[in-house]
Amino acid sequence: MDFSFSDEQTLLQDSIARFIQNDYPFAERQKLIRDQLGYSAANWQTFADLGWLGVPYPEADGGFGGGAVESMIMLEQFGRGLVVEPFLPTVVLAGGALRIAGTAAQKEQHLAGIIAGSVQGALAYAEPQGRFNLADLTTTARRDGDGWNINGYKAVVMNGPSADLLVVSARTSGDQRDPAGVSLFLVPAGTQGVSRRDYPTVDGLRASEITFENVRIGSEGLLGEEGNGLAVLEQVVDEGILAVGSEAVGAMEVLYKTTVEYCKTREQFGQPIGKFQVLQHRMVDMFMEHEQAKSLMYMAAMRMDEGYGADARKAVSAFKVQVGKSGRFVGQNAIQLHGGMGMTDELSVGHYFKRLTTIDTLFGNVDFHLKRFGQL
Amino acid sequence: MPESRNPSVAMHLDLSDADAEFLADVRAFITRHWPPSVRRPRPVTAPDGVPGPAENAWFRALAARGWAVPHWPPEHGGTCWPAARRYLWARETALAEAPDLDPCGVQLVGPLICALGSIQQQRRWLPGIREARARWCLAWSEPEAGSDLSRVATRAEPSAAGYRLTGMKSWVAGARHAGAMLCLARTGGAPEPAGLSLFLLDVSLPGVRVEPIVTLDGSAGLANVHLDGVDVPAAALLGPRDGALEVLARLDQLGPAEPVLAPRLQVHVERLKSRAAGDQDLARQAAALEVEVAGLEALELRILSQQDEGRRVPALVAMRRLRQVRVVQRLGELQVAALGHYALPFPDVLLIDNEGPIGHDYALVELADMLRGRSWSIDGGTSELHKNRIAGTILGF
Repeated sequence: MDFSFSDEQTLLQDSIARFIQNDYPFAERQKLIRDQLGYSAANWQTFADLGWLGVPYPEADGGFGGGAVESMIMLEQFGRGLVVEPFLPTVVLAGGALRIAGTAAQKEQHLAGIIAGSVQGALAYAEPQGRFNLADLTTTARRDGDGWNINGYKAVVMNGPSADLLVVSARTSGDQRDPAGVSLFLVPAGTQGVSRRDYPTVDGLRASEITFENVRIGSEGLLGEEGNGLAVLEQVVDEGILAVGSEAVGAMEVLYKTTVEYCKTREQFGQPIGKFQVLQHRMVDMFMEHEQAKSLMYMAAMRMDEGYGADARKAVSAFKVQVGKSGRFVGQNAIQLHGGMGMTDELSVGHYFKRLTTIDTLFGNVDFHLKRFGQL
Repeated sequence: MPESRNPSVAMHLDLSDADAEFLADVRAFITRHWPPSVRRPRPVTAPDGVPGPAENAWFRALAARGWAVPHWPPEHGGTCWPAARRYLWARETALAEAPDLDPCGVQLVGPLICALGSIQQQRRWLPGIREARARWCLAWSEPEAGSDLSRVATRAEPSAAGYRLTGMKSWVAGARHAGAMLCLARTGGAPEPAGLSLFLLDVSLPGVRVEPIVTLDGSAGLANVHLDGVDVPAAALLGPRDGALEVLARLDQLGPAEPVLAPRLQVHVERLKSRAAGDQDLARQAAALEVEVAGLEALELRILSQQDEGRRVPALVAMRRLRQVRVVQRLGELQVAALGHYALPFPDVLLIDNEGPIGHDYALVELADMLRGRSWSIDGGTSELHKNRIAGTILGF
């Protein structure tokens, strides 16, 4: 048992923290979210050059053999900088599904591009009627000669506009919510019959509604075993939760510290408002919410690294519950203590708040994960 | 570019082979000395009372095995267990619902004597604590000195023998059954806040009178302690004369036990969950509490692990106390909710018959637990004071 980082882990943390500090000013980030693309292609190439895009993949697949702890370290730093580059959808979700379920040929074909920064990915798993139930699917994939024919509709696909490669969940058998009969498919975004409607999300990122109309793909498009895709999807989503949760922990740290600094300098009634004990105690609560989420982040990452099983799932759900609760508390009170300034688009506070709000929803909110936690 | 590596070299929860062996030893020891036949549901909050024969046998077994005072310095009987072992020990004893060692003597007074005491004081007092022969109490607070200990008025005047103590101490937990006390008294001139000193003394000395205070749970766990010209030798003074407030300010750096409470709380949460089955609302609230326990456990582990690295983050330590308080009090609320109407009977020793439990056999224990739990946010520094401390640490005020 050991809660301390290795030298390599500290190095990874420091290198990303330095990048955020020196090369990722908030003003630049605000320009990016108003551009059509929504992120910086140059930054993405930098991530690739620094090796960051390969961290979570095994060495055999061309990666650096990092685990959940390394992902946690990276995403926590990305969260501090409100990084908009699509690490989560491409590296964690699409690449994660390939890492878990891909054949050697599939990994060779796609992972190298992801690691090199030339391929963008997305996980198209949600549907309008399904809310957070990963098995609730009306999208179907039917055998079609050697390959498959996919029909259906996917909701709020993060990074949909930029994705070259879509990992799509579809039903190959069973009823709409059956756990069995879910399969995953690799669909190049340019395949005939794939159409998108793109839009920004509340946190400044990009997403798409994607329609699949008689989309024909070859047999090599099936990712993992036919009908057993739900287990893979659940693991990928849990890795996604660890990732966004870590982002939230980083965001909360910035928010509580920014608020403390603001309250030291903002004067009203003839003194810095931080002199008021009621505000001090509020900030102490913000600090504690952040630390509570951070503690559960460590546990979730370490459980995931022990191997994916019931303990890991339970730790991830506990973490997600805490992230939802803490994120709401820290975000709301950061705005409250900044007063009118907290409501402006100009200050970063509101943007951290919006990211925390989307993170609570992503992959299941507090209520959903409290229920899952209780049932595990 | 990150080096390729095996991610499991740091940040992991696995036990080493040696720790796994230790765990097996601990389990065997517990099964032998605190067998299932003597186990019973144990409240979270410590009730007032003297240990029974089974408890005393357990304490003796601990002393014989050298496990009575794990957190003390090795020269005084400590075990130097690293974080993993301290945690495993806490978890296994919690699962077996084994009794706690004297929270005052073992956890706090002993380490203080180890850190500040003379060799004579260490010889005089430490064996009794280590061997569970004497229980201790802290006579610090007074009617006019609650959270603000600088207002202590009890005087320690120089005398021929050493010092003569005069005054009244209040809210002294466990005084009725204590053999010794650590007393805070004024050696410097009033009314300056400084000038306080700590004294080690036997409760049986002439002039010491213990007057029980009945508390909300119907027990007499607290007491006023009257000191009517109590003569103590000069060797009763612990630490620097007039320097007690400085000592108390850095108390948590002087080696007190790191409390690991989450495993014990988890035992109660499991019991709560089994009773909440079939009641969706209660089950949901129990699950929410379990998440809080998981967070507390992770925090307790972080602090233990930091201690291994020789680090200590005061804000996290203060936060741990606040989180422990929060979970204990929330657990009390939910236990009462689960009891339904059996949350009403009150264990008043004078008015209740002695014919066993009323309703569920745990009802009276849990009600008392909820009531005593209110004191958790008051004694040892109120929750508001802990928040002030964190504000000072993180805000710089």
